[in-house]
Amino acid sequence: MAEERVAIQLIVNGRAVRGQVEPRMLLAYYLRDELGLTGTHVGCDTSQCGACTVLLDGLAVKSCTVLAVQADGCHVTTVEGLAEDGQPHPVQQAFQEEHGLQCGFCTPGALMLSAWLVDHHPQADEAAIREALDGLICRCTGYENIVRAIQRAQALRQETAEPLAGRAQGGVSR
Amino acid sequence: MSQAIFGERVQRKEDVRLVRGRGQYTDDIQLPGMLYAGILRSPHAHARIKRIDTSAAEQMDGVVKVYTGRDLKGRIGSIPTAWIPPDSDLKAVEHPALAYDTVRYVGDGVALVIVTERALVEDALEAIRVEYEPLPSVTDQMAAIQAGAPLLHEGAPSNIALHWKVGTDTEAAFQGAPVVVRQTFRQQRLIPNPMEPRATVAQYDTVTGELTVWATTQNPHIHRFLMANILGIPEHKLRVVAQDVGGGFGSKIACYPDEVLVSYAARDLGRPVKWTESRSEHFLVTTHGRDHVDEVELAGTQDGRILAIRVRAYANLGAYLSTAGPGVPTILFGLIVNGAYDIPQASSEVYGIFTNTTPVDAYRGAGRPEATYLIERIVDRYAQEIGMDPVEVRRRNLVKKEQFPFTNPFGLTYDSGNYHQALDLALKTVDYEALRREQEALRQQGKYIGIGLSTYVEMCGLGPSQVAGAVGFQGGLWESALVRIHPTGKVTVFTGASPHGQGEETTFAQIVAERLGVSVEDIDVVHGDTDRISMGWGTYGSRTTAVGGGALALAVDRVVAKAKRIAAHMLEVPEEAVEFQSGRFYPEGNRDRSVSLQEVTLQAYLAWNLPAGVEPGLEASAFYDPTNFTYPFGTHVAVVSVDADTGEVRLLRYVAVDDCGPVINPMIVEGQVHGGIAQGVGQALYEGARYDDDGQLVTGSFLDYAMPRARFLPRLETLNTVTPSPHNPLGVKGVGETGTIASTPAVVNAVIDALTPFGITDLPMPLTPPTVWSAIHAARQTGGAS
Amino acid sequence: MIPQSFRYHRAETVDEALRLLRQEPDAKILAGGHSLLPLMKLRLARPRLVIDIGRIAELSRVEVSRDRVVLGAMARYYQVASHEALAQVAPIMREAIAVIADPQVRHRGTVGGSAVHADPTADLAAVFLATDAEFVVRGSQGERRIAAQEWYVAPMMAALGADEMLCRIEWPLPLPAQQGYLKFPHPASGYALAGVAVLLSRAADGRVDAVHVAVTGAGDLPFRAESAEKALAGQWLEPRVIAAAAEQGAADGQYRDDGPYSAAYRQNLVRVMIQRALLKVSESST
Repeated sequence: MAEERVAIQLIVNGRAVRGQVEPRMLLAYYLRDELGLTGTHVGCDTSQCGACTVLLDGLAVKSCTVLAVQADGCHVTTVEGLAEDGQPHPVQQAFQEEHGLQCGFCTPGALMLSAWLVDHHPQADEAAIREALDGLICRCTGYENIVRAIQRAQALRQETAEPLAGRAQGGVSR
Repeated sequence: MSQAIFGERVQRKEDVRLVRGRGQYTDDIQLPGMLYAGILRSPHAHARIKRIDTSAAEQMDGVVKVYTGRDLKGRIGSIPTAWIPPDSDLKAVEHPALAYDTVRYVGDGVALVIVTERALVEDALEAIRVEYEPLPSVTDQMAAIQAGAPLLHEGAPSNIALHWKVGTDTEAAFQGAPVVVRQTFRQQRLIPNPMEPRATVAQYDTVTGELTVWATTQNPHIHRFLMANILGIPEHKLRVVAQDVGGGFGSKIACYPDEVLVSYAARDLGRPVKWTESRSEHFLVTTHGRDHVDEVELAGTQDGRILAIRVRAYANLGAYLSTAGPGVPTILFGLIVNGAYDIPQASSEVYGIFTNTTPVDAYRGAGRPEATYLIERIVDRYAQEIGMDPVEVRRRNLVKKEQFPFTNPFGLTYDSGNYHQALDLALKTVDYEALRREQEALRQQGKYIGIGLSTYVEMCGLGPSQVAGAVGFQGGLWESALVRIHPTGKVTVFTGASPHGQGEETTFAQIVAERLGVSVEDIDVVHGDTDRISMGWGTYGSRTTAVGGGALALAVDRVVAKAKRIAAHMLEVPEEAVEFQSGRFYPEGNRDRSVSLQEVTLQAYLAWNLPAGVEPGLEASAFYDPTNFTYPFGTHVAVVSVDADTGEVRLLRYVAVDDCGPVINPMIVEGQVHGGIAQGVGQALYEGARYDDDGQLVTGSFLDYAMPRARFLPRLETLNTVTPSPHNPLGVKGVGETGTIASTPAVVNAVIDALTPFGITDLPMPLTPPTVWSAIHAARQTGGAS
Repeated sequence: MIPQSFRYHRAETVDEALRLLRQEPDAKILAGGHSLLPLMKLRLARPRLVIDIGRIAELSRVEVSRDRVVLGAMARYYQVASHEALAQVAPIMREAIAVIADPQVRHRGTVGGSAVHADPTADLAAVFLATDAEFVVRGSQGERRIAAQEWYVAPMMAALGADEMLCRIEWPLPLPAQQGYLKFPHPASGYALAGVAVLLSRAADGRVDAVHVAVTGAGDLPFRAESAEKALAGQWLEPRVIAAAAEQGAADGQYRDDGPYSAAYRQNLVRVMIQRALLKVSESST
């Protein structure tokens, strides 16, 4: 089949990016292979593990299940862009403090999902946090310290500033 | 100033890069001109390859090369096993990197494609036509040893890959025993699923003849050793690098055909090649774990004294012998089936069996979870049989504090322990008596909770090399460390262990910081690169801290000894009269004069005025071979509820008391235990690989294979007791596998305890809702608890 | 895993999408992509043309009027769940969406995508059946309406022509006021092993006035548990009545053995979940 390429333009971690991609290019591989943003990981092929989670217009999504062409015109934030002005996002600090990662492979996805949760649902209780973590498979931590890290990040967020991911309003019912 | 660094919750050094997305995992590597590899895998469990047509694939744009098994036969050696248990009659069958004649499991490689872009891999694979002649297949080990079962390997007369016996004569004990309990336990096949799929990038330097292989391995030096032989590459021309590795749990120990093929192609084509496993591929081809059928018999008295244990195990080894495959169900299992108990007579007999399934190798715990499961379950069965509380039976049989060092019936010497103390602490933490009262009250309301214990011990910290040799492991199990203090006083540590999530970049820095008085920030720990570390044996079997840390402690001591000689010279006092504390050297009993380690280091490199006989520089290495394994132990307690109408089990509470000796970093130790518990709970309640009658893996994705999720788990309560090991310089014991080893039987014991009113005494894992409900339903039909 | 190559077209209007659909028989409509893309990655779907309807504004609307709810096919789960007016008249949508997959999926997945994919374990299938939703599809012959009961034709097959496209999902208001969705998820996939949607209203004396019970996950197809509805009609919701209704409602499904989940287990699970859903809804405020 003839290889058709489509022009796309998006803002990745605050920087404008243009590219020509095959329609079948998944956003995850576009970030990794074309932009060199290898922090976003691919851990499965059935859209379940969440290691590839990024923020698309401020909402946590699995970048393995979004075509790069679908992201045309959107804002994408990856783990490399999570820190603001050199300051770590509260989830980055909290995951370190609470030992919320071991091998680190699911961690970028865990951080992006957690950042969305902390920024949009700052009051989520432990049960709600565990439910939100349905979007993540971690084999190392037993989730114990991920839950603690998210709770710590909620506290840090309260102490500090405005949500980062405020470009669009995401919602779940809680 | 004394720095308490050993024992502190120091934040992990590795996290600085990992939380910023700056880890360097194998698939992250991009090289100029890099090609991509894909492996065509057999869709049949057992078949003869009649014909392979690669012409369509070869004509596709972007396809650089297609290799078949016949192309590579004779060019790549058989993939060997590295564990040959003595007196086991092991059938070391051929394992070609690509099948050239017969495929023996779904996933067996039949062709290798090399393409120019990631997206083309599957296009090319789909274009290859293979004609197979399907053969009868067998996936269950019990079926595989029946007469007339399909035979996997022409060279072997049956599917029995090994037969091994060990232990004392238990016959007399069983003959006269007042109570004998018999139970067959099936310990299901598990799929390791580290979150990072395996990957390999290989680059060949056509000028120097050096091949560099970045690989997802737990033991790069073992990979180098094996691959040098398989590929016929001189070992000094082969470099294996494992930078960040996203978990392994045993599944990244083995040397697989895949990395060998990619390396071969990179050398053959003179271009870098990357291969990355998809998750679907991982399910099919990365080694699986467990898969035992264990016939267990326990002899005891009416008053709770265990007299003997006898085990006959049928271990499914899969289609080929994996790197450590034969050692797992024998040495790592059979020698410790008495568990933490002082049982006078014990014996193990193991059959390792070929089947048309994915090869089985180490999975977190490797053999010891299987041993612990059967002893902890049969002890509960025994307690039930004699009408005694399971706590009391344990109390009466646990090895007592004063018995250490304790030699078990298989000749293992348990190093140190205080098992009753751990048991008491766990019971006090959960308030066992109150739980029993609550259980009774709830039963009156038709609600079912259960309390399960596991008082485990495990052997880890592999291990003395002499023992490795005696048990047929084709390698050493010592570890290396090199400590280099740079002229400015900064420190680089090189370890032959290869951590991949366990945090030794931090704990090793803590060990050095404590001993040298240098801050953790000024110490870098280098691992996972055969060019930077001369030799080492890697990370598995909870060995890194006990053995690698031991080597490190010795190396640091050597550095300090040399520095002391230089310091004595600088201070103009005899060497014996120099004291070293918190990074400074003092004349004995005199705190007014001193030189810092940094000053001494600078002098060591300037070498303007060194004492006679002292060479310049300040570094030392150590090759540490432990004198024994370490034996961490503890008590885990699980509390569960069972929904009798749906069969759903909920874990209500989980308390773990572990003793791994002195704790270097409590935060990291807790993390290891948390993750281990989750994996053990996974086996108890959720996980299980299943094959259909045609040998197809029906649990081939996260949609079918249930991984533990955050919602499945309660807060995990972890506590420690501290009993040092006398057998290594730090007194530490491994803790990477304790959670997995202890938790599976604790949870199953809890569920069976909850089901006591229904007369249910055992259920096969995983204890899924339909399994539990069916048992309750059947019991209710016949008049069990209503 | 990467899909087979395809051509991509982002449609600006429904008519343009329909025109492309007619021209290319091997075309697929891409909405949120959370059913289609996983299939394409595994190469279980291999369209030659993908028509992206993600930017067609009219398809994303959520409207609640006095007598009607209109959900555009492209309305994403999270948008529907966070719609306050909808939550007033159909709180079951919010409750059901909260247990669909995970936050990332809810940010992308669409109500129309779920409907067209017609997975017999989809949570919304029970809701659509219980609410008597109407699926409004458009094709070369114009628009037609398909009742929920007619929609789920076979597993993974909706009553949608090859040249048709789902535009919106509607249902008349008011719905019975007491509503609830209860789910027993598959431990691996998170899909419903059994999911039960209940809509209930009661007369002044407390007897059942209207009750809709729909089941997803356990059977070959999602279904209305009509026997349960009949058993409850005009009754007071006593435990004995609920238990009997649940038993009868569960018997309405067609079950088969699938791996560890036997037909007997599935039917039992449906019985238990209907019972629990009815209890929960009957205890909820109106």
